[in-house]
Amino acid sequence: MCPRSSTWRRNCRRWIFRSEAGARRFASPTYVVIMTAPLRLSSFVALCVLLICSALIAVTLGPADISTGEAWSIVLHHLGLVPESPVSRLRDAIVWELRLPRVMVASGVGAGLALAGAVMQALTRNPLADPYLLGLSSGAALGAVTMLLIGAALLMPVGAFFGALFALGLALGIAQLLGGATPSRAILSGICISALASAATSFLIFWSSTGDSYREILAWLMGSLSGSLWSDVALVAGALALCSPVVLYSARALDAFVFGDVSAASLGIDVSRLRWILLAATALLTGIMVAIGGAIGFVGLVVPHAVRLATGARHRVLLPWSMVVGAIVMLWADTAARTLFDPRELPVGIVTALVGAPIFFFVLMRYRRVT
Amino acid sequence: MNGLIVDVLTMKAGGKTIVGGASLRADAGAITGLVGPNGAGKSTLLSGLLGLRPIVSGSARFEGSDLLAMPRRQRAQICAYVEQSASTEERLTVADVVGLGRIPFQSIWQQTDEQEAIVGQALADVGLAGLAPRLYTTLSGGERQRVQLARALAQQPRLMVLDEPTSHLDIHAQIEVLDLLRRTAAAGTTVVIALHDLNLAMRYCDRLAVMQSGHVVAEGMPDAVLTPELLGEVYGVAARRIEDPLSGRPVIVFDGTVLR
Repeated sequence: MCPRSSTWRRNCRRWIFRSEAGARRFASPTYVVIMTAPLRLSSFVALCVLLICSALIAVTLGPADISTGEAWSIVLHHLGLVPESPVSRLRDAIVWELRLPRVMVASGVGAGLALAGAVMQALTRNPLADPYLLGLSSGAALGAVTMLLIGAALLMPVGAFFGALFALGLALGIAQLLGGATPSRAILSGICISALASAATSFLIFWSSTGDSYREILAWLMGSLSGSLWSDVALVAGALALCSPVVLYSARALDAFVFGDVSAASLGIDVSRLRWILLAATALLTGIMVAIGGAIGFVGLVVPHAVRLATGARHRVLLPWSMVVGAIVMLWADTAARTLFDPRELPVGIVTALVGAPIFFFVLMRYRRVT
Repeated sequence: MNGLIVDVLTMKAGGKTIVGGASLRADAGAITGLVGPNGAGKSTLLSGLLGLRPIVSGSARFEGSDLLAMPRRQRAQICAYVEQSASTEERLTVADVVGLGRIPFQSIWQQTDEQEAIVGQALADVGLAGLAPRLYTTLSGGERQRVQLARALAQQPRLMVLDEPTSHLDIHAQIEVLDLLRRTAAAGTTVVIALHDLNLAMRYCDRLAVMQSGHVVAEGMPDAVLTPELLGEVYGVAARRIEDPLSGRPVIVFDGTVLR
């Protein structure tokens, strides 16, 4: 390695950590990466910029042969910034009616799932928790498949949404019957409901589906954002606008859960009330995400863990970071899903699993080094 | 009116009475020890008097105000609670953990310099100022318990309740914790602590309450309370009291006979 590059790297480290001691601390596994507050803020801003740039690049990618300049001028035209668009109506529609809504839905779903995952992990004190933990995805699948098989394919999102909420309600109800919806009881009854709903879904598919509907169901079960419309954008944005303020507002209180319920209560937190409010918010959020994209795995599980590695576990930082990182990850996963095997399209759930599983492994390795 | 007064507190769990009308007094500026065999209801009583678990009847008053009727947040601004052992797998620094003690005082987003100063002071008080950027998960058991004490100190409590904070610690760490509590009490805080080690209880507590099957069966000066007769009755062991030839303090020794 040439000496110049190592000097350069040292300078970078000096700039980031302000001192040699800070850099050494970074290298030592027993110390967490302490980002100074200004660095944290500037990297968050950088992530937001990265998200916007990603969206701008993603709308230029796709099977149809539309140049970068054309794609951007179409977007600018619709935003009212460019008076007249020179491109044909078909190309205009491809960018404005197909690609842009899809890019926005992907980012929104990614942000929502990552946020819901981070909250679930905190509420249940379970690092394996994801947004679907309490039977939400299996319930949604059952609802969606039922709608599809009774010939109401258009109502699949509605079926999925109510299936998810029904499963969650049932899981929490059972936990309450067992003597209070504590995390472990909720998880166990969630597993029970999941198994039941999955069995029912498999039965329905096995009993009545033909080749075409089978492929459609499979794509939905693996998670897919194909055919996203502006109405979906509105739905996702609405769910985020409704739920994320509630969750972000509770960031400080979520920190208090780190040593368990009693300890949180001793810090003045109304534990059961907060748990129900946050469960309701994440259930609504996840329900809508599942209704739109199916059960897209790994984003809600892996993104919060990866973010924790960089920022530590304080929720004031973790939650907004998770949302932005989740949005970026999902955006690129979906872009890959629709462009890699052009003209065929992969369900995005396959991409997130393919990418997410190795990343999860890497995160686990890092955790092993420090804990 | 100073100190804590617990009056006929009754608590149930799973239909079974765990604490049956226990009464207790703890003075400001003193350490009050709660001893008794496993299952006597010490932990339940301590969490109950802070309103952390539901109670059936009774009252707990601190400095004249009703602890159980108080809003949670307000109570958390007065009382701090330390558990036997607090574990987590989260990536939190020591400073983060101590900062939890400021939650009852904070509105959502703010983190003022004042809060940071309080956190730093609390860490310095427990002698861990240098560990602030360390990961909590990499600490030893004794260090973790001192961090939890610092978290409690960061609440700047007037009442500190500790549930067997020394049970998992070696003797060095136990004495460190108890010394620290003594200093805290000397500053005017009311300290209530459940303990298992009777000799340490006798050495460090100003008053003792002995619990058996959900009741407080004896209360008073450690010297007067921990008699061989009472130990035989409550713990079911044969015990003797001898005098330390150097300091003249009483020491309890067990000859290994179990009475029941």
